[in-house]
Amino acid sequence: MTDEAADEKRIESSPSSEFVQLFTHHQRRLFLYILSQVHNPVDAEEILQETNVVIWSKCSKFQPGTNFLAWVSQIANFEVMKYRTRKRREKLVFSDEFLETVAEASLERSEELETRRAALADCLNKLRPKDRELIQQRYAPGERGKHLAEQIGRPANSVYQSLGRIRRSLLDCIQQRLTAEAPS
Amino acid sequence: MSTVQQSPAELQLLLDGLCEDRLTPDQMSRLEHLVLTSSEARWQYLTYMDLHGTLYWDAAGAGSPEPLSSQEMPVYVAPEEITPTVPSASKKRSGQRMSLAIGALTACLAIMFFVVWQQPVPVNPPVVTVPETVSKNIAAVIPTERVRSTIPRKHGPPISIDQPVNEHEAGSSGDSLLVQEPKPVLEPKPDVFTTDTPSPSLVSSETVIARINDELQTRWNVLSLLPSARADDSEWLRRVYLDIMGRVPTVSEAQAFLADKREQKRETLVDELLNDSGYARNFTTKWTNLLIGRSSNPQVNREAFEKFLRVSFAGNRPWNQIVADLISAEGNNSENGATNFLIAHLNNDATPATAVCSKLFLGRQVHCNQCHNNPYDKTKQLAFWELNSFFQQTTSVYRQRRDPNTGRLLSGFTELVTRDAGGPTYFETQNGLMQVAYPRYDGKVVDSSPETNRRSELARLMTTGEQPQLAAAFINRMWEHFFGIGFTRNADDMGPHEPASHPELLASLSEQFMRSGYDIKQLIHWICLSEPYQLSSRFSESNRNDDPSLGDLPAFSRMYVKPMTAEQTYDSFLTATKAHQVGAVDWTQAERNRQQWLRQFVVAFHTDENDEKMAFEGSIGNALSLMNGPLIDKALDTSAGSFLGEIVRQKSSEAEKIRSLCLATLSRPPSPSEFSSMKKMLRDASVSHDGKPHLNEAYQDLFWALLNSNEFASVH
Repeated sequence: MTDEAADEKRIESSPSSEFVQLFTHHQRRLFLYILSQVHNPVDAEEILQETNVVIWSKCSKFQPGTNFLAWVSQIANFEVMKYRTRKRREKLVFSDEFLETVAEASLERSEELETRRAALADCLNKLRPKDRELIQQRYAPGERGKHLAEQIGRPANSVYQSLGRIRRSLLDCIQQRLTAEAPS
Repeated sequence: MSTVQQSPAELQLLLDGLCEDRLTPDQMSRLEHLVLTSSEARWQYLTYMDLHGTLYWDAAGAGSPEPLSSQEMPVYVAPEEITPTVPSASKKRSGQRMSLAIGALTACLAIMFFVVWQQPVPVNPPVVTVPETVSKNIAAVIPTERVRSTIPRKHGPPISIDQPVNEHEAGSSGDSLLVQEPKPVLEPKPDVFTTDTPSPSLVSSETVIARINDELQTRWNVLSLLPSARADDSEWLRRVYLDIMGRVPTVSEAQAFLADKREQKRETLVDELLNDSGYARNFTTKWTNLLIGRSSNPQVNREAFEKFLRVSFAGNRPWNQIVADLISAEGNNSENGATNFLIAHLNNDATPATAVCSKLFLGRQVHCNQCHNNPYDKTKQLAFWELNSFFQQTTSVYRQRRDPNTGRLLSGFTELVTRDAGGPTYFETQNGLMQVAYPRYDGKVVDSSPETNRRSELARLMTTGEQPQLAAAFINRMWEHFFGIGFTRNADDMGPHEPASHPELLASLSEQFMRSGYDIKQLIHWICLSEPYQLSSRFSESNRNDDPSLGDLPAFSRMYVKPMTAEQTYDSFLTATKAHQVGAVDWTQAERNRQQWLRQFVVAFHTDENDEKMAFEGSIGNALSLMNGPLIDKALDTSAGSFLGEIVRQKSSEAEKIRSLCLATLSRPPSPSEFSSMKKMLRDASVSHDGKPHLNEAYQDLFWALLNSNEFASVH
């Protein structure tokens, strides 16, 4: 095949604008969906990338008008399984039953989770500056949490405790906001 | 429902441990058990992991720089889908190794250059392949290289993650996507950029200058600084010539000014210089170097670009119009010189164009944001790619021409072309995820369909009406030009982390500059007649510490000494020695000679950002070239017709000759002590040890010493 013909073929199989739109829109949800099953963000990202490749190559198979999240989460499930097969020997993992249960619950309540994410931004702003800084350091790109304690020169346990406390206060704050906003 | 009663605290601790990878196998199974047996625990697990993931995701730069209202929400609409400009590995920075290797070479070159610099620098003509099928009797215009690649990357699709969306909106709308028309904030594009008419509330030059003086005086009082004394006429004269004309004054120009007794002579001179072609030439040189760099690029037509700038500066075109032309230029680069600016920066998906536009026109350094969010201020990676998105329709095409009669290839030209392309720009965040960006400037979204000419829109958004950032960036750079340092440490960077030394003055000058209709000559007039510009560079005990090189903000209580640029040195050398008269040449040839001389100092790094270094100021190369180069040989020529020869042969006193040499080089007469030591040197030479007078050599030595003095090499 000549280069030009190859180009044309690619253009033909390139996804529609609606598909690009759906795809971009769902990246975060998909990431969080995967994370709920593998609990390590770095691994979840890797799986997301693998999943994206499959989604893209199958873009023509998607039926417009059907549930996009349901479609991509099936692809993700398959990628999570492949990942677990790879990692089974080296890491502690949850059981298949656990995964299925969690995945199901996650899809069921995906709208609720999405609403909570919106509330988070405000709650982050309400943190004490010191706490916010610690959270930012913990989640800075490339940070894996383990070196953070060394970096800031605090005992590891105390850093973990602080992080746990801050996460809990964020969860409380989100809960409060949603309760306040909910129609009475 | 659950029959296992776990304490909430226990679950929390387990979840904390999970997030930090610290659970033992027993704890893992305990957690699993809790989640499987209680829906309450399951929900807690989900919300906890969701929080963990969201914090992680947003920290990687996926977040929007600021919340967008739903109307502003950029939505992808591509009526005629084109292959998106697919990200390739090249969007990540590369070329660092290259620059290292070249850096090492530089060291060798600094030593070697004076041996080789006379050899012409080979200019590689662009290699053009002409298809066989082209009929030879037609003047063929063949597009060849540098068409942006539209081939998707091999490994995987363009992967993008969620775009800036107000999450309340997204949440409530569920999966049904809002494919709505983006609401262009703009009117249809205009074909010409209208001149801003000066506002009626234009204040007089005196008022503006008084404002500058007051602001600085107030600061001096606060800091208890006594400003330096007023510069005497020769110090100021040399400075203003170098700053406006880019060269020292000639002997006769210096004599005329020093002899002038009129009160307004400084003002008169400034206005005369601004109407001299030397002003246009000097600022053309400055802005050519800033806009397209000093390195030669075979695609760029430097002469055409200089012509565009020269005509603009000579005709005093408003700065906003010049910028609009540079951003929106189209067509043949020899006919429309302005196109060469973007042609020089379209490589690497136009990332250099993005960074250079932001740096030069807005005083914002954004090249770091190509790859990551700024950790110190709010500048986001997304903003970089939103600006970049404006250049994604632009490409340059090399066109080869053929003689219709003989079929021979003629020299070609580069054309700057806008393609009918639409849609988003893809980029990679630090953690390797793909994101999309849509054209957006200063919060204003531009329709991303192929019908929109994005550069015209950018030019409009950036340059029409009141543009305080455009004005402030230009003023800061001009202030730096005349005072050696701007209001911020570096004129390229006026970001939030770089506080301005005189923010109120900067704002007020920007205001007046906009009201004047971005009048460049007017601005220079204000600066050159302001009080701080009249001050001497000599400091006293009182203002010794007003020294920006110590890291403090400048107070401008004295004139900071600037090293001459390579161009100023060359031009001043020619002015002082009239070396160009030895083998006189026409103007174009003179430009080429200068360009050739300058080339020895330029080191191009060939990085993705088109970095280059001018190895001139204070370098060994500089010193050697001035001490031993052919230029100084010509300058020290004492044969008939040469400058030094004429001085030596003049029927004038020794004192007159010394005075002429000092005026030519330092624009001032010698001080009494300098005079006596120069005189002594000439006298010693006339009664030489071998019995023969060596007066010519003595004058040559004196002239050589003056030309190599620090005073000659600096603007003070």
